[in-house]
Amino acid sequence: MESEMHGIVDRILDDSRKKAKSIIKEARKSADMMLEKQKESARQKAGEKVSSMLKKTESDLATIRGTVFTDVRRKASWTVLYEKERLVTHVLDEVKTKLEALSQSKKYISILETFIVDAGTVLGGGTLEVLLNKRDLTLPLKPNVLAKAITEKTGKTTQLKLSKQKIETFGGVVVKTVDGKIVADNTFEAILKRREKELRFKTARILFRD
Amino acid sequence: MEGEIEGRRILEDANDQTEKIKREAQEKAEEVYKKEYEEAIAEGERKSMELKKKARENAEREAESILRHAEEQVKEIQAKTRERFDEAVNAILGEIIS
Repeated sequence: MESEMHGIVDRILDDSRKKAKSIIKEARKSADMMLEKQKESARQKAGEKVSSMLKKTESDLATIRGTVFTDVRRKASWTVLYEKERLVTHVLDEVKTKLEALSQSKKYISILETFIVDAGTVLGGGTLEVLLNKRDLTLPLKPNVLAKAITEKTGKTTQLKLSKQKIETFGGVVVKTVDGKIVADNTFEAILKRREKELRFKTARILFRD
Repeated sequence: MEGEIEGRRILEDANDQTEKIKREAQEKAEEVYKKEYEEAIAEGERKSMELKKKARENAEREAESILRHAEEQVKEIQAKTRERFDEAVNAILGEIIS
């Protein structure tokens, strides 16, 4: 009788355990499915965004390609232009060196005289002050002859006074009216600076002609 | 009687565990979604970056010929100007002193 009772209790417990196991198994399966659904839903949502992102990327690729080519073309033309500018500058540097050498030569005095006459003419003649560097003050210039040339060119009686004031230049002259109000700077440095744009253009035309 | 009580208790425990499993799954759901979403987006971004990088590298490789051409042009210019250098210097010198 007692063992029969035990048998019934054991069966009830065994059934309960099996059912419990099945319930838990089902719950786990259901939870896993729910999480898998969440993942699938996330993948789907992200997929839409990624798809539109990649579409935009596709259109960006043409822009990237265009930008690279534009940059490279700009760099290429800059390389050529930079070299041309460098070569023009090299010529003008050489001109400056030659002018320095020229200022020590015999030819220089006639150049200086021309510069003085040109400056005096630009100022319209009259009483003018001539400023030179220390070395040029020792040159045998003929102010009266130069003044006469200016008079002839301007039609105004001209007198040139050599100033005791020395200017810092490697060659050329500064001429000014006696009141100092108008100045004509015909030093080599001033001429090079004043005419730089034009001289660079002329240099380029010679160097790079076809 | 004793067996029924024990059996009910086993089933109640099982139900409690089931509730716990559901609750934990619910709690994890948002995090799982977020993680999966972010991973997929990150993968998409990686792909996008890779495409852009390759496009840039290809374009740079193709555009190299433009730079090579410019370098050749520079060499030609240098050769030409070597011959014309003195002419240019003398012309400019003449411009200044004449």
